Amino acid sequence: MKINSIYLTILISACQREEDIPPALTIDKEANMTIAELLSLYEINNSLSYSQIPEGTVICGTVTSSDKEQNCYKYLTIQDETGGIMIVMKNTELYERYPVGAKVFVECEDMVIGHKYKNKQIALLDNDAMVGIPKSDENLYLFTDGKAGPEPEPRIITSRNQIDSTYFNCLVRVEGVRMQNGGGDTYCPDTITTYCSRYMMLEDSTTITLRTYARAFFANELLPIGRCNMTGILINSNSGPLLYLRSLEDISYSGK
Amino acid sequence: MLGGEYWLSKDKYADTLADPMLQYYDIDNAEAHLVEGDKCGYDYALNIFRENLWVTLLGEYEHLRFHIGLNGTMSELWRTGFMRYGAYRDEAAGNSEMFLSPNYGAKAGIAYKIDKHNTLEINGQWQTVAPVAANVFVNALYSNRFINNLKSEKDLAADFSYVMNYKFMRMRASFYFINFQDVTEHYNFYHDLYGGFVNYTLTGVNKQNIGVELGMEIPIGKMFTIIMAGNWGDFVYTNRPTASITANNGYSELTPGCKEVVHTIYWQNYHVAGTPQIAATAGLKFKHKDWEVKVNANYFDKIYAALNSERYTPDARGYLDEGSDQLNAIIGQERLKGQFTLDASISKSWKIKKHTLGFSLKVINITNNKNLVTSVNEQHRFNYMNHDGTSFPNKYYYALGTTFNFGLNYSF
Repeated sequence: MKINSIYLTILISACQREEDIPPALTIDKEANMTIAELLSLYEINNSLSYSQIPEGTVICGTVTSSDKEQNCYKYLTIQDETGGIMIVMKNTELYERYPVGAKVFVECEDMVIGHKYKNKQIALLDNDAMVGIPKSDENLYLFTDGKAGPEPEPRIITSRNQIDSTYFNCLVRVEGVRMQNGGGDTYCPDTITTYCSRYMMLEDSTTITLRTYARAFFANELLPIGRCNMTGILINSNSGPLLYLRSLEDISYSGK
Repeated sequence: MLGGEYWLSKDKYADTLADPMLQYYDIDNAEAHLVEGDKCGYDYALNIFRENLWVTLLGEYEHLRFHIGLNGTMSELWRTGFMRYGAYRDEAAGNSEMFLSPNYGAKAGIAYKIDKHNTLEINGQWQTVAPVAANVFVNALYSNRFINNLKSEKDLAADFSYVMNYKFMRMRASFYFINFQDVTEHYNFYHDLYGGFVNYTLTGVNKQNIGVELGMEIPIGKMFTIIMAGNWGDFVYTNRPTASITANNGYSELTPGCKEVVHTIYWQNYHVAGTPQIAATAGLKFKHKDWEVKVNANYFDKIYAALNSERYTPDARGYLDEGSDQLNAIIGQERLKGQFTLDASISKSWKIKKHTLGFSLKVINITNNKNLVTSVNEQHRFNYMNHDGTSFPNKYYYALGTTFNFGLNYSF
């Protein structure tokens, strides 16, 4: 009986093991500059097309853009409490690795801050031109756990006149807009192969341009009818501020 | 030469901007025009000498039988390189240092005869084993450099058996335990995280095999015998070994500023692959005069996938939550379903004066079961970008269908 007991004990021990689990990666980064401070390193109206970002600069922000519907193309916008910044990327399908709400640390080593059509952005430099971060090098500059989270509260816009530089590259909600030719036009007709601009008329009669790429999945959908709220990324341009929707779920209706 | 006049032995992936000599597999004959019969790529020899001394003491008494054995081994190993690959030029040619590995072992066993039908046996063994030559060098093709922290493997084994021998039944039931420590494993493969081929060494691997075995023969009349045998085992890794990784080309940095990555493998309590850990056979044997016919049904189970150790690291897990489906797809070790086969054999021998002539014919896998998976392994490829354990699925190796084995034997 004693021998039988020993057999049983050992066999039971063999069956009760818990398999190992590797620990998760941790991000041991700390931001040493706010996004507003980073933006202040470069002025659009100076003679330089870009400025080198100081060595060792680390910023941190929450992802606000999404290229899932392909309307935020080859860039990532992140924002903290002080502002938003655009990071130029070389590849697409960024939403898989940097979902909306994910916290991202950016090591800006070797990066520059400049602008494109008056919209500030940070990028790599190649032959004196600002270029996107290739997918293979993303892990050298961008650090995130890739977990979606709550997006920042969008900044409310009720008039074109309230927009200043602090709104650009941020998540905004333009409230009470009525689309010009809503229900009649699409976001971007088939005849256009690049992008299309539509006009949002705010309640104070000012207008803001809604920009949609031809490649966007919702390009052929009809513009909304009646007053609604549009949430998206506000980008500056030579012709003024442009709102980019991430998807049609960014539209909420507030009645006709 | 495939129609070519000569071959230039160069690594076309070498970083010649950094150093043009990196591209040559043999920098002492850098631009040599190699033709049929010339050596290219690598040329080396592994010199292995081993001396072994053992002593065994046997004793047998009426109720007791024992053995004690001791052994000592000295192994000498060195590499001789005959080519200087540019990437390893300072350590490629000539003789490496000599790797000396003294090892020793002891074993003992006792068999106690309770009576003429029943015996209890217990055996034990402890030994150290030199690492195999293939696991001694970081890159034996091109370099004389040894793997860091080379150690002899330490094995401890014990088994306890009960043997029963009656006319109506013969049976052996055993419990076994084997513990392996400081096993070294070495591979070369393409590592997706570093974007290149790597030299990969696991050191300090500990494993444990425990199990029970049962075998019995039950005669039915004078000509038939029922044969049954089975094993239930549990073979697992018992610790977290260390992986050391360097670029296969000898010079690339794996991460900025870092030419060697060392990290822990979190695979404790995962199963060791390589053999079914449950195996059973049941069969019928017919023996009459010099004819013998056997039919066996076999069952195999607890076949686990050979692990890609790099999946059991924080780099593979990323930031995935514990218990998430995505993490389970990475670290969940596949276990194959149980599988059956059917075998048969026939043999006959003739005595010709003092000589014996015989034949045997075996048919394995009579049912032609080609879905029988004999082994499965996790690929070394892995999608680190998305931490997706399904991007590079496991590879499966299948049994041959029905196989015939015919043999003739003549003894004199």
